[in-house]
Amino acid sequence: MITLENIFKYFDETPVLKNINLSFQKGTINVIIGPSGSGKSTLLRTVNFLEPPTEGNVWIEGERMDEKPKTLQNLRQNAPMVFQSFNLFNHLNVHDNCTLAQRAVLRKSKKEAGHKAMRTLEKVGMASYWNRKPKQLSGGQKQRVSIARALSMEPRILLFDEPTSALDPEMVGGVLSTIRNVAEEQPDLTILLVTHEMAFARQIADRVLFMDLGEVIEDRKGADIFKTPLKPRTAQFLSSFQ
Amino acid sequence: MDGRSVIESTLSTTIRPGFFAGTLDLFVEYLPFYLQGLLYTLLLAVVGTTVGLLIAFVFVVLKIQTVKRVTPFIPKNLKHLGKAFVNTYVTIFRGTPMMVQAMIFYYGLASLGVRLPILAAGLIVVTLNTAAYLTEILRSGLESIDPGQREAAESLGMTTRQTYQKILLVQAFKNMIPAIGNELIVNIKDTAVLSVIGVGELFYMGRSVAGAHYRYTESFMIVAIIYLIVVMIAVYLLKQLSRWMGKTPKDLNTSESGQAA
Ligand SMILES: Nc1ncnc2c1ncn2[C@@H]1O[C@H](COP(=O)(O)OP(=O)(O)O)[C@@H](O)[C@H]1O
Ligand SMILES: [Mg+2]
Repeated sequence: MITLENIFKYFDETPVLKNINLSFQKGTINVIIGPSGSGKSTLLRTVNFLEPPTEGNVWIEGERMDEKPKTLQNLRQNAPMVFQSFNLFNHLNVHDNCTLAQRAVLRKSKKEAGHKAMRTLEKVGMASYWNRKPKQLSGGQKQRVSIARALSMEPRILLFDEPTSALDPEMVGGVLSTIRNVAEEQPDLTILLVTHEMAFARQIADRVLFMDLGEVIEDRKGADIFKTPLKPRTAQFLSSFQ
Repeated sequence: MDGRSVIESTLSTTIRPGFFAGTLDLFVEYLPFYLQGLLYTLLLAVVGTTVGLLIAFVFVVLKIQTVKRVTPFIPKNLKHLGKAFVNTYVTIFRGTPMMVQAMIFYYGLASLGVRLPILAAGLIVVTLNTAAYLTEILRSGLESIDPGQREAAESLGMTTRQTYQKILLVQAFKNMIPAIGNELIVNIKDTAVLSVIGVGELFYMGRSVAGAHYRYTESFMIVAIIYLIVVMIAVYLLKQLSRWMGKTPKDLNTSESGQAA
């Protein structure tokens, strides 16, 4: 379980997150939607302390997070992030992208890490590309590799920050179905997903949160938010996707 | 070997008058001395660049350390001290001629009673000087790397140290190979200034031969041609190296299996 308690985040003097209080249950898929600049990425990044909150606490499975290197390492290996811009390690091939952190963080042997990498690459349909460099892959392929890289850490939590926003339209479907497969195969995985793919959110979400101006405006079960938005601001935002 | 004293023992040799004949005679007669000088030049340039690079790796890490809000008092001030030291160091070494650095270093130490062998003094000066330039080159190399690389590493739980070692410095180093190679070439030529403290490198040898026979143009023409040839070879080898670094054996595999896939 992830708990965010009285989270405030300021960049310089500007508040970007204003008193966020949320809990995410184990094994749930939580989708965060909202206009650009509303603080969705920042919220995700406070969960793994890429952006430590200015105020407030983050609890992961009962443990309070802080900026001590040991805590950060434990937290992040259990909650890796999939980025909009992929961020594969440019100098390493697909296989080594998936083994580097296993070896450096989990201290796995080369062989063990390699096995795990190939198994996760199979899951995302990228095993046959194991020795390609990132620059030799399409955007969709890169994103599937970065999902495999995250899964190689055997995390309990997975953070997705607009995983399909940088993709050509014809690549989006493949990455979304990869995410769906992962979620189905690993029902214990807690997923936080920021996306503008409303149809996908509707299908997959256990819960949808709408953010605006650094606050959670609406927080609903399943796909309810799409059927009966309660706040005018939510309705207005959703209507722009019709 | 002290070039001058050996040259004095061969002074009885006659060098024909005329530019071409004179150049040829000097070349034939003194080839071992020119080669000896070249050896010192290459030693200074290669050792200076490689050891300078190793020092630069350490300095650049000191320089770009992040000091966080939560960093405790003592490490925080050590970090500030490290940054200030590197900044001062780089400013001083890049802001003064290597020739002057050599004079101060060698005669300064001598006046304190420390007599370093001349070659050792030369090696230290070129190394310290190169470290300053390469620190700046590595820093700009690190800054040119997409911040997403660092975030991805951190988001997987890698420590700052692992992130630098396994991702950022590796990539910066690869991108910086042309600039580092350039530094080597500059060093091949600029170590000539170390003759000022008597390091027996190529320029020093050329001047010794020239002085012994009062044939300056001829001797320095030989020196110039040797520098030119060596620099051209170095440029060629560096080109091969960066081609090889850009296309590792794994890459070669990839492009073959890539066609089959
Ligand atoms: N590192 C940063 N420094 C300063 N301002 C930032 C930084 N990151 C985000 N912001 C600002 O915080 C606000 C929220 O950003 P973000 O969380 O990226 O929104 P979203 O992901 O919903 O588009 C924006 O106004 C953005 O400009
Ligand atoms: Mg965002």
